[in-house]
Amino acid sequence: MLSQEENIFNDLNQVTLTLIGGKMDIALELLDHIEAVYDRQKYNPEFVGNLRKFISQYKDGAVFLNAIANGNLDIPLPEDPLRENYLIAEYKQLHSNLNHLTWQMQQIVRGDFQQKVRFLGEFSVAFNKLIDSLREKQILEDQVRLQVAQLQNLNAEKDKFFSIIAHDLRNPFNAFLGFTEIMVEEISSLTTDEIRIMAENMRKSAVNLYRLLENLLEWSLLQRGVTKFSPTTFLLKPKVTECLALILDPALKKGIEIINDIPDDAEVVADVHMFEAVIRNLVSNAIKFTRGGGHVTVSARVIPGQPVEIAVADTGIGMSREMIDQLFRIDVQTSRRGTEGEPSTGLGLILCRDFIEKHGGTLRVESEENKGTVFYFTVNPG
Amino acid sequence: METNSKYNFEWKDLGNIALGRPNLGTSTHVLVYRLMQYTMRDVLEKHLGPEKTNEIFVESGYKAGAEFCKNAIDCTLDFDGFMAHLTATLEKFGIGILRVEKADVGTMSFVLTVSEDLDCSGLPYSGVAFCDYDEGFIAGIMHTYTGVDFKVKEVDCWGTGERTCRFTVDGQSR
Ligand SMILES: [Zn+2]
Repeated sequence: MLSQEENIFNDLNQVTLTLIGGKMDIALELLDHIEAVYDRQKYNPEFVGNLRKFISQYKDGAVFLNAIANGNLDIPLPEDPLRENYLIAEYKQLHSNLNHLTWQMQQIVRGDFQQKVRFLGEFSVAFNKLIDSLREKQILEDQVRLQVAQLQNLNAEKDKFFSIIAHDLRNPFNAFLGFTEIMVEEISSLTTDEIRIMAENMRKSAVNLYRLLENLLEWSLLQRGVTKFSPTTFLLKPKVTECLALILDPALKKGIEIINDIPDDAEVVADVHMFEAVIRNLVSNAIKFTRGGGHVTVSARVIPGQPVEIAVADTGIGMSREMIDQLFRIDVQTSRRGTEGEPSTGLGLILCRDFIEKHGGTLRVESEENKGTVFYFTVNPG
Repeated sequence: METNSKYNFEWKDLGNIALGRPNLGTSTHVLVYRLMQYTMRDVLEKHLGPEKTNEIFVESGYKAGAEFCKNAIDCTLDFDGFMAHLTATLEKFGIGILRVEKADVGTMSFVLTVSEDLDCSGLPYSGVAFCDYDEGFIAGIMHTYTGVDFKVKEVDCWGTGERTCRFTVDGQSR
């Protein structure tokens, strides 16, 4: 017959063996048995209590680790309000690392190739290489996309060029040739008045042709990147007056008033040649799309420390929303005849935008059908 | 708040450290930082008890986080960009290595960890989470970025035997 002490010792030994065998619940049941059966004087209750705590903590840790080992990262952290389960610390860290790795993976899927993994040695080295190659691939793809867009644009520009040559240059030439043919063949039978009218028409065609050629030339220089760009400071109002003088003729003929409403002391920094081309084109357009009796106003808004905003406003036929949207697209045919059939290629506006952007400015438009159009562009103050 | 407070911290009160320390530089030892924090904690606890002391640490951490966020982090970035910038900045200043475990921007619910934490990494096991100041710090940052109040709780800490500090960060509905 064994003594009670010996029985307790055997039972405790059984607890240890069960624990080694990984059967925590049975170990806890054995402790219940010891506490229920034996005299409290015969064993150390504090020892049994501590053993119970240890087994519970061990069990919590095992359950937690088991979930992680099975890939279940959603497992809640073990209940440990007194923060005394030291056994689970490392598992928690593993849990934390795996969670972070999962998050990093989600970020990478979303396109964040800046993530760097610092976990699991060889794994992180291979993983970071993978991210690097994904990043490089993305850079390459971006480059290809950009180049395709550039090529498409180039192609559109080339098409535009040919379409101008084919239509816009051909029509005024046809008219011009027609007049010269009549002159050559019938000059003897024509009255002086008829000859004068014909000569005037020929001159109009020639002026239009010249303008178009000028724009084409400017544009081709810009495309080839050989345009000279030398900004200087000048007074705005007299420069605009100077530009307007050269294009006054068609306005007078249509009966359109041109107003230079720019403040006397406004100064800007710009390439004079490009600036003149911008004013010339915007005002010419305004005249084309305004009926007799209307007016075209050039004004400027000067606010210290801000770019000067110049506005060319007309009281003309205006544009629909759709036309505005297509205005600066070189790949869309936007030419539209003026109120008296004046030719227009849309090239002038594209040229204006390119010139203004070269100055770091912006060109925008506001328009309402049958009310008029305002083109605004900015240029640096003097 | 107490009404007779004469001092209201502003970022500029930190002074021009580079100008003031041309030879010693702008950095110091973590030991010095901890020496100040834990002696102050000792004295505050003796005067006010541990609970009030915790409150004070959380509140001052909150103020520090808000000012830090306003002055050192770009709050105009989207969440991912903001977290990346915050992570880089915390590392730059040697505050800790911030990592996101979980982020649900919709419910404003996050789990963040800070490794090699300035306040507690390497402290002996004591069964107590030390990073009240960090709790406030994170809440201050998140509030400044989102405009929402956050409840931040340190669930793991060096002080309780873990090797990284883990925080649950939950936005409180407005
Ligand atoms: Zn901590």
